[in-house]
Amino acid sequence: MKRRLFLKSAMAGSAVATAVGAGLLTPSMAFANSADFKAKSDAAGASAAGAGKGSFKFKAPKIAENGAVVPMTVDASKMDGVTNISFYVVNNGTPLAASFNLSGAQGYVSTRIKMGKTSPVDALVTAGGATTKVSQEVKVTIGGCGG
Amino acid sequence: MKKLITAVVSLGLMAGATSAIADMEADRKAFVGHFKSIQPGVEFADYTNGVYAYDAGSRDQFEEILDGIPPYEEAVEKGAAEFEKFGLAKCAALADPAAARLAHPYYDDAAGTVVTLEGTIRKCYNEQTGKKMGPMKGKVARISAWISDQAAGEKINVKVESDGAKAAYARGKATFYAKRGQFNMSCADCHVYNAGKKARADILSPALGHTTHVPMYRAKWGSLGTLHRRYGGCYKNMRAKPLMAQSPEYRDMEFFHQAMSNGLEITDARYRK
Amino acid sequence: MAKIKLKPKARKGVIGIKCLIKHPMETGLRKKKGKIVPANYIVHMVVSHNGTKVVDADIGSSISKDPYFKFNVAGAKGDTIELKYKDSKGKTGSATAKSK
Repeated sequence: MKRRLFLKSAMAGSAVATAVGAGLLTPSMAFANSADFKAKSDAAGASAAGAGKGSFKFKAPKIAENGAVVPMTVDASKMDGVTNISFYVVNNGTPLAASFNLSGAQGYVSTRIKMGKTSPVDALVTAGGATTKVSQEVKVTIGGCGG
Repeated sequence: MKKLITAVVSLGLMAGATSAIADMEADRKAFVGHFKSIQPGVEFADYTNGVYAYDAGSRDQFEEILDGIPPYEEAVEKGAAEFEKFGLAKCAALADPAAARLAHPYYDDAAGTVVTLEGTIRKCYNEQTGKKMGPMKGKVARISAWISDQAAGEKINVKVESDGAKAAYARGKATFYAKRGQFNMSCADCHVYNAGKKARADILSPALGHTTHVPMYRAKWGSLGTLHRRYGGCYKNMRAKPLMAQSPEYRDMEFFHQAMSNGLEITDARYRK
Repeated sequence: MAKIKLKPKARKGVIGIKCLIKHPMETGLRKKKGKIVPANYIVHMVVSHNGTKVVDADIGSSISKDPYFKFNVAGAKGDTIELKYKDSKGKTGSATAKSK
């Protein structure tokens, strides 16, 4: 009984480790982030769910050349009072990639993001207290000849 | 076109590696003609950017990355510092970096072998420091990338003149067109006959323009690597045993490969997926 | 040294700030030679213009290795741009540049 319990709990831990090592639990399922950041990610998710369609420009590739380096740009420079621009990658383990609080910089951010797999990406812009979003699916493929 | 290429190739192969039938200029014209026929809308000069001349979606990303700060910029700057630090300008062959890029690869009649830029860099490094430099990545890639940057905008101009050069060229060409590996495919199968088509999720790059931007930064590597590093990777993709970087076979193939891009501009936009 | 590339450039009253921070941005889930590479990624970044904070960013581990960012701020040639960051291990870095 004791032995079974011991084996059971020991196995559980190593099973996870093996899954991660074997790539079964891919990074796409669980990018490590602090609890604080995860909370921000959840908040961003809630915000995205309730957000209306934004009138800003969101540029991201339809098919990413390389999932590790996906260039994305939000250009909300025509909007007044932009206080935050966030990138929310729905199918990433912690969907919030980054949240930029702007206090003088214009409503414009360009960056490069890692994506574990094909996913809709929500660009969120907060201005005058209200958040709007523009969403685009980015396909991520693995392998091929260069893989 | 494919029949013409096959005929030209088989003529070259049947006549034997040392035959003067290996006519580089005729091959090159046929090569360029083939690509024109499969992608009539692409201008010759655009091939400097290889696969990005074929596909708008990936070209967009390429330009975004370049317009930002290219991820290889710091590595190339380090290459410049290393060129200085190791006193490589003291070697006659590297004293004028732009000229050095344009001069390589070349056939050294006295030594009876193809000399590549990486080969010259490694030799010079050894002469100046007494140490050995690796052939595929790290220092050799950085220094070669910086030297190559100095020739950006200049046109590739490989010369195949002596009998020895023609033989090396013919050997390199044979390697390029030979089937290998478990997949039993040649470089030409993907990069000549099927350039522009997809292999699973990748668009096959045209061989025309392959060497304008070497050493290249591959997002997959997350670093700079030489042409021979890429050759090795491609061999592995075909489930064939890769050869050593700077081996005679790869040097001969580089000689052929670079010659096929004669007339295209060298570029410092080294980013590839 | 060149751990941060900071390139502010003014054009028509707007400074385009391009920056690249050399950082592995390890998620803590990648394995190399059988061993987990420990998490090590930038968590926070602040950009200032002439001493005033203009960007305050919370960064997650899914930003690409060697993070690249571009921002725009109203300004002119000669203005000072400063970038400071902190990573998950508590290490910090900073860079300052005058806009061209």
